[in-house]
Amino acid sequence: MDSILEAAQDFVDHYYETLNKRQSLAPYYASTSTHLTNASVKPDISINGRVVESVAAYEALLDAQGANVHYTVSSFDVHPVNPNYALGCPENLTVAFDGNEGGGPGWGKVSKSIKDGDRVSFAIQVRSVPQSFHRRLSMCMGFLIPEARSKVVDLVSCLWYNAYFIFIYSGTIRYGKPGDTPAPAATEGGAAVEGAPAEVAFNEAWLLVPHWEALGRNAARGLKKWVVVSQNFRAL
Amino acid sequence: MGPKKGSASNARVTRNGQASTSKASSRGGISKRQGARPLKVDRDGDLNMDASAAGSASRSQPKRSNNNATSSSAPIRTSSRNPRPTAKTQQIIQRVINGDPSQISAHRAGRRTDVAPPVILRVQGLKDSKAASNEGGGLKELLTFLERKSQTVGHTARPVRIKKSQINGDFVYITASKEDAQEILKVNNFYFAGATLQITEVPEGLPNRDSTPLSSTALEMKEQLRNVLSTRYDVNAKLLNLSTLGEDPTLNQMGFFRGEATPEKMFKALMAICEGLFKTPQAKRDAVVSISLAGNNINDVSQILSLTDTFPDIVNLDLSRNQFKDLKALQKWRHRLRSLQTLLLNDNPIEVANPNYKAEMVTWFPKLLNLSGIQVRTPEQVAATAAASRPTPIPQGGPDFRDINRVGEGFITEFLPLYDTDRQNLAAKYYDEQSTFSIAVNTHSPHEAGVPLPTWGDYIKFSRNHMKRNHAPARQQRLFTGASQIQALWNQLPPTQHPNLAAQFDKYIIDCHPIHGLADPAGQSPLGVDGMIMTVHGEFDDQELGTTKTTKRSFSRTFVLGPGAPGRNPIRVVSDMLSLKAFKNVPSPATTQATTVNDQQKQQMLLELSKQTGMTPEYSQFCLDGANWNFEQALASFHEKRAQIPPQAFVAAA
Repeated sequence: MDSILEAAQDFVDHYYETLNKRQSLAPYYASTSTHLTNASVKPDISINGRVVESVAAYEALLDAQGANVHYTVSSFDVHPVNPNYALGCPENLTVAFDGNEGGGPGWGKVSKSIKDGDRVSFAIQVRSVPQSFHRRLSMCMGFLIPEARSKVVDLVSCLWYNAYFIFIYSGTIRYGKPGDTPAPAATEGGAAVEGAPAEVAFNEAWLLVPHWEALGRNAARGLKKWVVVSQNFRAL
Repeated sequence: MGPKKGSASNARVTRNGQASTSKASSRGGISKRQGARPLKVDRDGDLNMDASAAGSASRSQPKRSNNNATSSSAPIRTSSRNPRPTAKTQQIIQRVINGDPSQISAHRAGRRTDVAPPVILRVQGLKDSKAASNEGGGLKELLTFLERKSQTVGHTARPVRIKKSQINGDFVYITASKEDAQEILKVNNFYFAGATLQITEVPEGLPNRDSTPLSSTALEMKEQLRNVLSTRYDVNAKLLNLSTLGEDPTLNQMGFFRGEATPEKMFKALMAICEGLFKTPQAKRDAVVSISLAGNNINDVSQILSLTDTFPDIVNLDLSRNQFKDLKALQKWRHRLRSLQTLLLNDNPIEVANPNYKAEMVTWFPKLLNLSGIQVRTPEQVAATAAASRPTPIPQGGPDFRDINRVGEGFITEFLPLYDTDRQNLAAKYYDEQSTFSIAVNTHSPHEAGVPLPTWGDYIKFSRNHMKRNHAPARQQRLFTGASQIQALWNQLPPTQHPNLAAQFDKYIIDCHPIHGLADPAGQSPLGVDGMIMTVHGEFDDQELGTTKTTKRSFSRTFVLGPGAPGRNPIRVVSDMLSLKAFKNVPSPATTQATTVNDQQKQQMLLELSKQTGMTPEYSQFCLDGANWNFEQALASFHEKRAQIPPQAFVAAA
């Protein structure tokens, strides 16, 4: 759970900063991942009721707003949606969905991975809801070689690497600079200033999935660990 | 002002700066005297280059000691441009002027630790000597005399050096190394310019500077500067005329133009006094609209940088008849003076050196109308640029309701009334063991003006706003998982009344679209199953628990819907996130568009669309009518339906 909270926090910290600086948003979306694109996973972007074809089209809309638009997030919440997202998951990160008895799908390979100290694939291969995972983990640890045991504890934080989750951000958009020309008069404590930057609320719902390219053994640095498959934005 | 006007040659700065200050205020600063290497002594034994030059030269460029040639002669007023001191040398000068001995001694201690502490000597007799009437009070001459005499009297091969000096009342306090002090003491009772010098050692160190009446002289100085300001302020024109300060009798009398750093200091002081005269920034804006700094020999705005701190909103600024020679000299104001409308740079070298400076200036100051007497913009252009730079929000559209087999419609029409009337059965029907629910209260959302802010007592204890809750257990607790937990929570929430969805559809905005890769509750599909995400924005009235008080609030609620487990309701709620905020009507796309478009704008849109698409005005009008006169939408729908548009819709290609 903490891991998706961190992911959501990370997203809120970086995405809106990138947005406010009007830097490229492409790395945040599923369209950046070949694995996801090949599995026909494509970001669904809906902005104020308009379905936007691509990230580039969304960026064009943002550019059309003009400069000095600032998004501030004042509230966010996050839920797991599917602890085991599989669409577009590459071979080396997944295991056969064999439904074998006892350990559950892929469990045999998981314990092998632990022995090998293969941290990432371990985390990726966990195919269970978290409650039962902990049970299985303790079962599993009973027969693990001692040096692998410490790794397992360490690995629990990686548990949600393949989670599929949703979060909601709400906040305000400020149109215009805070120091725009009439604004200094506001410091005088006078009445509402004409032409002062307008603020409107927004609500934005996101669905994020694992960015498979970022999870492999020799993943390129700087990739986002999760990418957007659905975005619903409304200025309110 | 500036380094050139009335400033002595660079080589004299330490002593002169020091002396002029002391003359004006009758208190001495401390002069640090550096650069004493045997090589650097000139014929007079005067090794005092200016502190700045010596400070850097002695470390890196010993050969520059031949600069001393100038320093051996009497102070020369020169109009030639001196190189601007570097930041470092300025810092040193500043330190010298401020007379901060602690920094200096700390600096020296770092280099030579094995030397005995310096000795302070008190020299009496300068006041009675003829040299006292010299420029700088004769201090320089005295110091030169002491150094030269003590060296010859003592027959020492090495030069005797005075490190620091300070005038305090009738005495001059000098600091020298222990060895040198012994030599200087031998000069006791020598005649200097008609007076007998009495040199004694001061074991207790420098007299406390604070004991001298600083405040009264500072006040006097402030008063004088204030007078200067008042004579130079034109109330009617709202003009502060600071032109040709170098010829101001009062300022000259105060001795501001004899040192190098002092004109800048004086300007800073003037600005500081201005700052104190106004209670609010607005009062300042109202009182001073124009400032003239014409004819001041300023060659870089860094010399008058405090102007933009004190008067950031000045409208008219006259910098003519100064020495600005390139854009670099103005660079520091590039992002300042945002309200500047008139800037006069006439009779500055830049006019000849860089004729293109005007184009640059126009881009630097967005409201500049008049540059050196030539109109560069009209007020209309400024207004148009400002309007263009104002952001235009992404237009608000209607619902984006991409339903699958009316599943979403069926769900939400059942959900809202049931949430008001029968939450238990609602939860039982749509929520299972894995369903999650949470509430986030956003207390900082913009709301309608004049409406009192609601209280959140019934909700806040369940709120899961992660921007506020950083405590992990609280985060965990406030995620409600499974139908029974959710039911229990819903029982504790205030009763609500949502507007009827069918009858008051304008009170809602509902978006939904299909999603993929949800967990398969049947455990069959490894790649997961398809579902739907739905976001509802709307309002409800709730009744505060234990009272009859009702409050209208706005909400946004996002559902992730998926197929139910076998044998259960065919639709399940995977995730339900409720976000609450103060009431504000949901935006209505149709009305905002209709009211803002007038006939003239329609005509413009028509022409523009016709131009961009090549369609005839008639078809352009069809297109715009269809898009409710939203240009963007019209253009988008044109591109969408382009293939179906008949050829006669287009203006025949020439």
